[in-house]
Amino acid sequence: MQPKKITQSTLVGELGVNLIARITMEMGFAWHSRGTVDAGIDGEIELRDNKTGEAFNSVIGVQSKATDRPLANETDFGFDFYCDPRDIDYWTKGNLPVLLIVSRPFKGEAYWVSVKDYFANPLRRSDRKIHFDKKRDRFDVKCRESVFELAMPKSAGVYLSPPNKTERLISNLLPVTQLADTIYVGHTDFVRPAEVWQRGRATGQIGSEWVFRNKAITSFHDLPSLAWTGICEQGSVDEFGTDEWAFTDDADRLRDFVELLSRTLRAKLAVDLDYSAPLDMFYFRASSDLSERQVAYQSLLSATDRTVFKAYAAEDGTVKYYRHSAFEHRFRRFDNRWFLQVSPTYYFTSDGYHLRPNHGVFLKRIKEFEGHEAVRGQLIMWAALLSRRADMFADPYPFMGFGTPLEFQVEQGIDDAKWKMRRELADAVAEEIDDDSELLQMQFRFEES
Amino acid sequence: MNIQIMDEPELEFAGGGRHIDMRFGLNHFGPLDIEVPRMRSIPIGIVGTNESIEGLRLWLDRCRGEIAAKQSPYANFYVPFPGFRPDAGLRSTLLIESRTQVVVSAKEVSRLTAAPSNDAVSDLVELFLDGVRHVVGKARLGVVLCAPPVAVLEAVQRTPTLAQSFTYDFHDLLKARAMQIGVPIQLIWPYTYDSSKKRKQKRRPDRVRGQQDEATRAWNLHSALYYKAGGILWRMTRDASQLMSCCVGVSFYKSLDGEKIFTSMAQVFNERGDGLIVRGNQATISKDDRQPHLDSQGAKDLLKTALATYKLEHRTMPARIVIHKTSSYSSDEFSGFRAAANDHGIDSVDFLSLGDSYMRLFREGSHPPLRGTFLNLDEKTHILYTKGSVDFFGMSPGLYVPLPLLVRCESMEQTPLFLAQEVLGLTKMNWNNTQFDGRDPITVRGARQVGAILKYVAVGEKIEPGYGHYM
Repeated sequence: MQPKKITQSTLVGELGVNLIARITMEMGFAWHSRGTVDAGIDGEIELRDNKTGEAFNSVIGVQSKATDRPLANETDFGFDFYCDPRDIDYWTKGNLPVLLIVSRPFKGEAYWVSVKDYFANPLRRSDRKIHFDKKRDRFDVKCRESVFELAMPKSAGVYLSPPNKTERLISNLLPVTQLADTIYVGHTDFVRPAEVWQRGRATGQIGSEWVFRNKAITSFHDLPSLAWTGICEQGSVDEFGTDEWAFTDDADRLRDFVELLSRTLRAKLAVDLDYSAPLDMFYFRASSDLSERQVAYQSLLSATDRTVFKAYAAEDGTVKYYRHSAFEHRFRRFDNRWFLQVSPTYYFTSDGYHLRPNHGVFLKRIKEFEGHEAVRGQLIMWAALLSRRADMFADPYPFMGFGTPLEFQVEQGIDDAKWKMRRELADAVAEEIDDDSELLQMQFRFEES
Repeated sequence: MNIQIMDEPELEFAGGGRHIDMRFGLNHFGPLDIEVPRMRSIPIGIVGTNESIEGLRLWLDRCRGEIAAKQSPYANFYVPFPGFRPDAGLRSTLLIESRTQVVVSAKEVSRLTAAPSNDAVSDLVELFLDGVRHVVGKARLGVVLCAPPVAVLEAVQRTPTLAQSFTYDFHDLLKARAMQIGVPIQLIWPYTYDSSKKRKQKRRPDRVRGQQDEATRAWNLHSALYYKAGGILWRMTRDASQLMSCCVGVSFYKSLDGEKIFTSMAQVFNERGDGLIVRGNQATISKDDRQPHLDSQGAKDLLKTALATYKLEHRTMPARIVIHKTSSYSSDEFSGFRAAANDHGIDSVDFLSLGDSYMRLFREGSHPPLRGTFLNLDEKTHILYTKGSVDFFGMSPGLYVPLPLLVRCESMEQTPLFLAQEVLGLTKMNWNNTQFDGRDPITVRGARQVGAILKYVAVGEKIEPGYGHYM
């Protein structure tokens, strides 16, 4: 007498269904097995919002085909699967959307296709063959939205919570990681900053890291030093710990401190960048021969470079304007820490030096089409350059240094690949409609009259 | 520092039905006041030239039936308009009679549009208001539609070159003057009902602005009409355990006659989103922060009047007040607002200032952060993305690089998260727009809109308390 057996293929089949059930539940949907009474559909996926738990009474049928062997015409990229015509007939005639999921449970791989959509094309139907692309058709938790859309009527307006996925958000706040330890305040007899400059030029380098207010100089510079002789009364100079100013609640002192930071930033960047006071913008200086200027820096992933100064020609070949990469800044204090807020922008000149008339119009236009990715790219460049310790922006600068931008993690995000696909589809539809739009408008006018 | 993504707030429709999106909510459940018989048919008047009246009438008739959505894979963004009729969507219909249509002379219009100036804008407004007065005398109307022809649109668009020569805004002046008549006005430009008449850009008249699809235009127009006629479309959902709140928006505007006079204004809202308008005292520019501020008495009077208006409408006082101001608070303003609240025994007051934040966040993908992204920078300072990627739409409508709101909780009883959720909810209380991702909460948006109109209304002149007269 033959002993009772459970075949390998039965096990593989059961493992295939288990794999689908697991992935379905990872998506946050419910899995209902049809058990032994089935004619070509092993189970159903019921849609559900995994955040609120709300079930939608929307169901998709699933046929599992599991194997532990190679698949027809299999390569690293794809394979073919041949369907029984009776199966195709059964799947396509009912009221349920049906997924065919081909899996290799021992490897944890599963691939899916919506059979009603696939066999809507009569040629494919007569061919009985489904070609699977291993990348595109992989059935895993990322397919959640596509599965959802398959089952939900478009007019329902039913929505899922955004998928739980960890995303990294980069901010435009660079921590101020290094500042001079001491602030000096000294009395001066001069009444205007211009006089201080004039005197400073005569005595040597006094830098620009100082604020003049009410006949007092506040600076990171060592005011008792030689360069400041004749500007400050040496006996009047007081020393303060920088923290006393940085974390003060006194509005006047705070205002002076922020101004000192801004002036210090200007001094730090003066090697490569110019500052426009009217526009309150730092921008890359023109190259000496007005040729294109590029800078190299380390981006998030790799070393890269970017054009930061370039001439743009008008139709007649003359230079229309020069575009300089630029940024606006603010120093901000949060939670007893100081940050440099960097907002990438552009500076347009007529000749590399003078602000282009209609600068605002050019700026507005570029901002209208420049996307999130482009601005992020510029931010990363500025952050890389500003947080670099030496070289480009001179030797290690003694008074001010920055860290890398603050980053945050969120637990919800979007599926960029899916959104991109939809965008492309929308563009394709728009193009198609464009061809028809004249016709539509004519029709509309006809109805009106 | 702490970051989170808030859920899209739900809105409540008829029969307690809830949805995050107005259009789906209205389709599934109907407007909140579905049981009010008066709202099932809205009598309207129309004032325009023969041509514009005809164009508008044809389109309004077309909107009685379904208008298909724009063909697009964004099914949740482009929603078909179900028709303005008793059995779908807003469950209401427009009552249009020929006797409630008044024709303004096309000849007179072309005379006044020949040379645009402040006086010409003013005369054009009067020309249409004469029509409004006439039509209002004939019947009891919910709304009067003013339909100026293209010639008016072209004449009153202010371009940079003409900016010096005239400053009057046709829309704002029309609303301001119509207030003396007492019926809400819906201004409707030709591009709304005729796709071929696309609106030109103010700055670049050679470029045509991108136009909304027809179904969306129908949604927006009919929602606005329904609200102006006194209907309630939806409300913010409120937990029964929460205090009955009144949200006040405070904004400042320059008066017409000079750059130095500022006047403040407030707007009161409850969770239904009913807007009530209050005009405040004169403000002064502070030397410290160069922002306009009220003095203590001015702030007190403003909130007192706001609360009195609230009581008149709701027959009760709110248990909580939240003030959304578009600039920072001076100590005088704090003490004035507090004094008014104390006088009425209201001890829960939240003071927020809302503005543009240039502190931004960037996702790694090609889309900006999700709407609802909320970052605490410190106890007081927060940023809130009200524009951005919207999961429900599967896209990020609006600007490519959205500008988040800077939310400063200057003094608070509630938590910052609660206050930000409230702000996010209030961005959806805009009856001119059925796309839910509004940038500004209605408190701020309404306050600004009202300021733009009130500058044409002399101090002491009658102002309408209903927000429908300002939108």
